[in-house]
Amino acid sequence: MNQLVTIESADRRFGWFMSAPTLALLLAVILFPVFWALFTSVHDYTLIAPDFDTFTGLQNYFSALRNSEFRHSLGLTAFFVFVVVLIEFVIGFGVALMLNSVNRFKPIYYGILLCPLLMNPVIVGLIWRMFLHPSLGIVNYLLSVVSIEPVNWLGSTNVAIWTIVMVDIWHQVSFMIVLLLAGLSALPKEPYEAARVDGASTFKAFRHITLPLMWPVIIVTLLIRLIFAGRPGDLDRPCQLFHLSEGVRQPSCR
Amino acid sequence: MASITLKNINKTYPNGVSAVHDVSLDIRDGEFMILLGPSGCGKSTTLRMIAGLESITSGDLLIGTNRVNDVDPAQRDIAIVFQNYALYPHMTVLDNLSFGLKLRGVDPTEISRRVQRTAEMLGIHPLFDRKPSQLSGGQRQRVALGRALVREPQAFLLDEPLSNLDATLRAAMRTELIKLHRSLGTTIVHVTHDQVEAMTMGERICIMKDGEIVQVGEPMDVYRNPVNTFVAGFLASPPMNLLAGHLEDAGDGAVKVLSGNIAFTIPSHLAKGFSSHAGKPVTIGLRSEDFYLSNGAAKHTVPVNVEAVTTEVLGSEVILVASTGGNAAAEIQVRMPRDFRASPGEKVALHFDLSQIQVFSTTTTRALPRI
Repeated sequence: MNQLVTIESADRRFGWFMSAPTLALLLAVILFPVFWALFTSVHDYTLIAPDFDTFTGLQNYFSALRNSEFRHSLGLTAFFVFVVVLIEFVIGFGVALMLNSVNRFKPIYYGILLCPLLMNPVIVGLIWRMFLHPSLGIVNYLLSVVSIEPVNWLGSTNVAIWTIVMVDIWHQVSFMIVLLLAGLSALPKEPYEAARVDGASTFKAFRHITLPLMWPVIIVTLLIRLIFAGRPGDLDRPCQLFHLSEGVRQPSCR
Repeated sequence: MASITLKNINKTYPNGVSAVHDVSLDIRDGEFMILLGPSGCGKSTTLRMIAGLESITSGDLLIGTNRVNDVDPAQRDIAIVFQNYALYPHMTVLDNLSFGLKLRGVDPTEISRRVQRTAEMLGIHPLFDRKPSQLSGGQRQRVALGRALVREPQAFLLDEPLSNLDATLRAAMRTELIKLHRSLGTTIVHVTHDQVEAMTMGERICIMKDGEIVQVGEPMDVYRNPVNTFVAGFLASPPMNLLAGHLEDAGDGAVKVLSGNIAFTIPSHLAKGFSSHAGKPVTIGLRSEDFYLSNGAAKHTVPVNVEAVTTEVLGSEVILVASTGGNAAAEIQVRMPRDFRASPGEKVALHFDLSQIQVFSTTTTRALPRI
């Protein structure tokens, strides 16, 4: 018995020993910056005077909230996140449901779907900037073929936000599809057969079996997408948005 | 309640694999029919075609008098119990039981009446609030059965429902299913690969092999008169002893059987059907329980001398594994009384009840008629 306890505690020590480097790294690159940022936010801190001698409390937050441009950006970000995640979820779930019933050429569809996800956001921004160029872009050219007036995709204050929503959906929807598809293909097949014999239509089977069984996957997927779409410190997004909206500088998409 | 009729049913998959070939079967109203066969013989596919979960490539399927080939599973008014139970994992036992009725728009008071009655019958009413993951195998099995019962369908289809249970529970559920069938009187089609289930539960057994029906009949009829060596070897444990040998004409309609060291004569009144096969190679079928230690135990016994290889003491009986010796030595398994003992190599003088002998043509594997 005593020997067992010794082995167990030795195991635990070894476990800690093995995880120590990772834990230290996480502490250094995640926990420390988070607390540093929080700490800084309650002080009057500038790069010219980088010391923490003036404690300001929540003053920085208040002044940010008083700034109408900040509020506008905040609202816009919230709107962007909500719309993007909602539309991506609807499209993603729909495509995942369709792909789940496909057996032939599945890897090919996967490959096509994953292409945008593999692309560097900067490249995505550049590609779409070219596509959406008011006079030289292919999108406006195609619209002109069917006699639709050219649209100033990135220049118009009304259109720009939707353009960015659209590009983000194009770029990120496959993430949703892949996660949801993984969830769908892991669902047991038998309850569906039981439900068919029990008299469930396709819609009722979806409503009473697929949805409840998929809830955990749906919630995790939405959560991950919400975090990614709304992450303010994202290095990529400002780049992508910058490349899209470069030179426009409208408050609508800042 | 309804009869189920299969007329020349075929199932061929898109990749060309034929799973069921020209199956015709008449399942009578209220009958307990067993589909028995080794795995991959097409019995489950047949059941799934009856349920409507597999399309029928050709042939006619009738429930009652209606052709239901193209009828949706929900409209066939049958219930199925799956091998792995297929309970709805996110629903409680109560919801699992009532889901089918809710979908059919049955009145809530009627639902609760039926669910309550079924649950009491199966003893699962204390489990109403549990999810399937919180149930034991036996409890899940009961819930799956209950889900089928509350529907009060025209027929029950059971797809190896007992195969995931341990031996004790399986035996108990066997009895329970028999009782259930007796009290409900509903048609039951039960798929199994377990010959004990088939023998004990079925009113008739339909034995399948390679997608075809080999034999249909009452359990004892199939047991006593297997149509070919496959049925003979499949049914019963230990299976029928099948020995290679040949027949010789012994004059006056009697036939001499030769297989290794075994040689005996079948008198004419027991050998009418065999004499035409004299001189040809045959397979001789001897059931393990038709051997006796004394020659007075049955009316027509012949001596069979064997050499013990090993004995398996089962408590209630002893299985003697013995070699027939000679050139074509084969091992046979014989049921002996519980106090029988023999050491390896010991000579044992057995007596076989000739009236129970089966003779199969080696070329066609089919049984030769006795008369």
